[in-house]
Amino acid sequence: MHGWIRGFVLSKTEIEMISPRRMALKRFVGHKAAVASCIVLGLFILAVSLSPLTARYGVNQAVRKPPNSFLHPQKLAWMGTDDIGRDIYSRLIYGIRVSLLIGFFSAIIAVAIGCVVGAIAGFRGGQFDDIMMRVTDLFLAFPFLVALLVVRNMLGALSFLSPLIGDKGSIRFIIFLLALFGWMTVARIVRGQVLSLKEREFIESARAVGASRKYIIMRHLLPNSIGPIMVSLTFSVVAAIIGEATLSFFGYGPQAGAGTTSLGLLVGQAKGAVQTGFWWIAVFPCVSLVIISLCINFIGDALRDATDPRLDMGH
Amino acid sequence: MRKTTRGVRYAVALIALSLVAAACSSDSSSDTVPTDTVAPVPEVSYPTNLADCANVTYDYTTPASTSAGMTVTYDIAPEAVWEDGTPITAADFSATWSASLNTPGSITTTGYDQITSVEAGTSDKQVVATFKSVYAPYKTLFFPLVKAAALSNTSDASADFADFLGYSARPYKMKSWSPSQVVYVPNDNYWGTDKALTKKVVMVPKADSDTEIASIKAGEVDFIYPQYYGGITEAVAQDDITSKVTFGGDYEAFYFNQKCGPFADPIFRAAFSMSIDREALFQQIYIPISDQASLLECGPIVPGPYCAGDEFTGSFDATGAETLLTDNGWAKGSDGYWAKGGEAAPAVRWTINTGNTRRENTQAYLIPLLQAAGFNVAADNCDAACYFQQRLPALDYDMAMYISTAPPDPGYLTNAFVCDQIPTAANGNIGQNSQGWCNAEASDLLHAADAETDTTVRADNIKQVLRLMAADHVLLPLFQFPKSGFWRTDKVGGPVDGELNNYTAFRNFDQWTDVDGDGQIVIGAEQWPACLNPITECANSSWMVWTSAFVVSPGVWATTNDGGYALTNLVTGEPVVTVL
Amino acid sequence: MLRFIVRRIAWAIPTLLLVTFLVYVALRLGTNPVYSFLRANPRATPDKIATYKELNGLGNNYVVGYLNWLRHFVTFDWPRSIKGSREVFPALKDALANSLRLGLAATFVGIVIGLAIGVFAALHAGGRRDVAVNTGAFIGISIPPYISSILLQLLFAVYWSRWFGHTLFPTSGVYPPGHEGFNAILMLKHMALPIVVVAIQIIAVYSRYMRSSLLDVLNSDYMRTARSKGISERRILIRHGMRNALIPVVTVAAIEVGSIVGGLIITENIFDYPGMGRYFLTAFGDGDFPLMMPWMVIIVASILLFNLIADVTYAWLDPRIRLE
Repeated sequence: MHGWIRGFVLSKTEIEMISPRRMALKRFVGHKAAVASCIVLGLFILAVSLSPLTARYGVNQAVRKPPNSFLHPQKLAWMGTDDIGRDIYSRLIYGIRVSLLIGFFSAIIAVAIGCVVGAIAGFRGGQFDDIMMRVTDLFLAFPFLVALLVVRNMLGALSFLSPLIGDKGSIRFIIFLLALFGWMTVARIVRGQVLSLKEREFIESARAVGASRKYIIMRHLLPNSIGPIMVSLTFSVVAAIIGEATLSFFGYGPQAGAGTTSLGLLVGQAKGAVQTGFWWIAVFPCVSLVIISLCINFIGDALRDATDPRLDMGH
Repeated sequence: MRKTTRGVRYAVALIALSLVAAACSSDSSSDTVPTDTVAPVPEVSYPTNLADCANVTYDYTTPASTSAGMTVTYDIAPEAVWEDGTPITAADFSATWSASLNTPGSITTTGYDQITSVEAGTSDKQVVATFKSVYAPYKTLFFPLVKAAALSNTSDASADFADFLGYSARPYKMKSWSPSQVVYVPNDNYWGTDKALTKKVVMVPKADSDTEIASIKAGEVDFIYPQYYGGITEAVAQDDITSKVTFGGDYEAFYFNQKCGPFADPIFRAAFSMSIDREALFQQIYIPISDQASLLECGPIVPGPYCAGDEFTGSFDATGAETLLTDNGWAKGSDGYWAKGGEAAPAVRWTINTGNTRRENTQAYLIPLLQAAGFNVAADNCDAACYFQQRLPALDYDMAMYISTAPPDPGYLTNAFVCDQIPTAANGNIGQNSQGWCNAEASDLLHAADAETDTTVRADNIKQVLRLMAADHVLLPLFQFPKSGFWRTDKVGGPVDGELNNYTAFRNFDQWTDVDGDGQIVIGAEQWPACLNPITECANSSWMVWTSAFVVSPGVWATTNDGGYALTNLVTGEPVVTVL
Repeated sequence: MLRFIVRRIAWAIPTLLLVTFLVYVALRLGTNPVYSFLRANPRATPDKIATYKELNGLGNNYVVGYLNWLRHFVTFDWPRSIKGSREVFPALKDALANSLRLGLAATFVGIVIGLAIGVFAALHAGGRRDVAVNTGAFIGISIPPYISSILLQLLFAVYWSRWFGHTLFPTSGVYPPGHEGFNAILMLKHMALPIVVVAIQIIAVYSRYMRSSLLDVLNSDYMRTARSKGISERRILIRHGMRNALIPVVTVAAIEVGSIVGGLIITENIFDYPGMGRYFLTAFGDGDFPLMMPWMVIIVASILLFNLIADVTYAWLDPRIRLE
């Protein structure tokens, strides 16, 4: 991840003179993979948001009475059934819905925290900046899973927090947990952006006329950093989706017993199915996970190219 | 998903509290529980939170012993020696007794707390154990027998055997133990005729069932003993791998916590239990795991001499449940859940260990059905350590589901189901009755069974207790779990499948033969012990004892494949039991 | 330079203390060691529990508790593990050695291949090969390690032994069962699959990183100047491009090495590799506080150390950086 970050910081030194937004849009549309990704992701989002219509069965509903386990893909169940006869296709619809929800919400919270921390650090500079960046360094390097597990236990033990963040197995809790560990990259990007913008004429002139710090950050610095922020948002979404999958793999994600499913839980189930030859249990969830993160990555990549003129090679 | 759960739960808790307050303020004349149809349940308060549950008390006194006690005299075989050639003597028996009884982390004191002394008889090779009263399950004692010289302190063994179990009085002795393997080599001083056949037996951890299966298919391990799951036979299918599935002492069941919470109300509990269609659940959850299985009807015990086999038959009675509730003043509220006098019952917290697919599947299958039947059930799961070591022992659940591995002797039922084993403030919260069932009649029967030397009378006692359990809706038995071994026919031979059903599992590997001649037999272990102390809580894991304590420790009796006890060559003959 | 390093170290020590204190509080809150002790010693007398609490500073005051823990830690008087009362240091030392071996090997392989691919992509920027690398990198990031590891185990162990009669790379462990002593070749064979699983992720990140870093340099003014002087393209790439493009990469790589030791949890778990990750998961499952704290200290210290190394290398490689 570090690579992308430095890329922004170093290269975003010049801004197009004429309508940068339109230029960016033009460049984005020129990125074929990104446009295709947008369409695919849009279809996914459409399918999962209309889930009662698109899903054929309930999330925990068996396709028929037993015997119904491990049915091959067939008319009754397009993507086959799992060990207790539930329709993989319908479960995928519901699972992707949960995972996208977790991905988007935790990314939005993470980006919000990251923007605030990054903007303040970059703008104030000095000791504060130094400490903030040390903290983000540490957070970045600390083993993600360990931090998740330890903090998960700690938050779960602080019962006064539970009205806000829910109990340990709830989706809300997972969103908070992932957001708590997702803001560092964003903070670094925004800080770098702010540092480079800070020295420029329009900020200097705003300062000269006595604009407050808050005003400068809110009205000048953040709006001018919107490109990198958008990019980091997309990568945060992917990171959160994969983070959820990892948590689920270790049994610390959404609770399957409570009737929830998620992409991570489905991929976790896939694990047991690779050896058995029940390929449909493994293939469909894994392919969905890869396609979704691939699409979001492509979109983020294109956004970055679009908002960062120096990387447009003109080939 | 269910964003309202929290709020609902608070509301429910509030309602429950007000219910308790109402129940306390009004007298009990409005209580319509027909006392004649319900077993004599001691008066319990009706708290729903853990702090209040701690104050529940039980009015039950353990029946005084009717006998003056008994002695058991063991004659140790003169040739029986430890791996270093020192003889096995009464001192080893005495040390095992003392360490099990006094170590703060002792896994069990059951039986040992009945013993008043363990002394040498006519010689060092004779042991006389004196019991306070007749103790029928005496065959379960002194196994695993620990070498006295290996203990640094016989009244606190917790510092011993941290990462090596050096003693042995069996065909193999431990050569080395590490987080990645344990190596056994023949014990040259073993006196038996069943000497070790292979130069080396190695056990390696396979933390994950996929890796375990991949490694037997790739020929890296020769034998695995995995927990069964749907699709495992397909996963292991390969020409040179064979398997055997048997049904042993493992059984899975639902348990209802009766100490406090919604199931403290016997009517509500009965109706709930009657609403669970075990047969349909069995078809959906267990048949895909093994189609040779049948629904367990006995109770917390597997079929055998102690169970008639129809105790829980016909437990499902949906209309009966509705009638029972409506007759007792319950009605479905606007939310579709049963309520009494307008007050909904507290939500039922169903707790399992996260990540166990079978149990999660069971919840996903059953919760919607129970909700439709008017019971507000919610999954409240936590990870294995939290579930087995915190929630269950603290009775911090309403409904639980787990597998128990039962030894052949039914003595374990006493600990798990008598009133005086319910953890309460009075006994320092250390009892093993983790469903809080207190039925004075059943407790008396169980205590009497433990002091009964006549096996038929003892079996009758147990059978009566099982009927009481069914009548009280203490639990719902589900499934006698298969035990399965998979092994490479090109690498290991002999009686590999001989003891798969045994409580001590593959302990007979000393008789297996090394077919491929690579000088070793490799066993893949599904869990790996973090420590090797056979006396402390370390031993609270089947895989820990299978991979260490059972391999090297002798015992007077050994469990057999068909669920009995057989004398071992540690003694010269059947120990003499004298009732005083 | 020396003053800079000294200043950085002077910074690192209070940071280490502060972070370990925070970790201490988080662990005490999340996995109460007293409960863990009670679980392992259900029959302990109140006296014994009180002694245990006092000895380990497990009172209500976390600052006092932390200082008590710190005193024991620095005097090397580490409390024994709660489960089984084992000595902590030998187990931790072995786990660290195993993880370092795996982590360093995987990082080395991953960075070397990743950089090579990154250079390749940058030289063909915008072309089909660039797109292929890009897509490959994204797929690499997106495949969860527990899926890639199962596929690798199936291919190189299960199917290989079916086709050729022996496994090429074993599924798991450090050595074949029953092996005792040191053998580098056997060890490498067993490390092959975990290395690949970890390296896939590293390659994916570094190829993209190197690509963008090199592109930045290639399009910079001084490269244009060099070109206009008529220096050959190959020379430009090696003399100027690579050197400058590597500066940020090396910095990040140093930080990455610091995090690798604790970052192998998933891989170690799947491959039954007795390293730091498995050590932590076991300790965490048992709520074994005395096992977890030293682990945390090592992780935090290695992160800080490699951050320091990153700063120093960066300053050393890039003379434009002012050391203040």
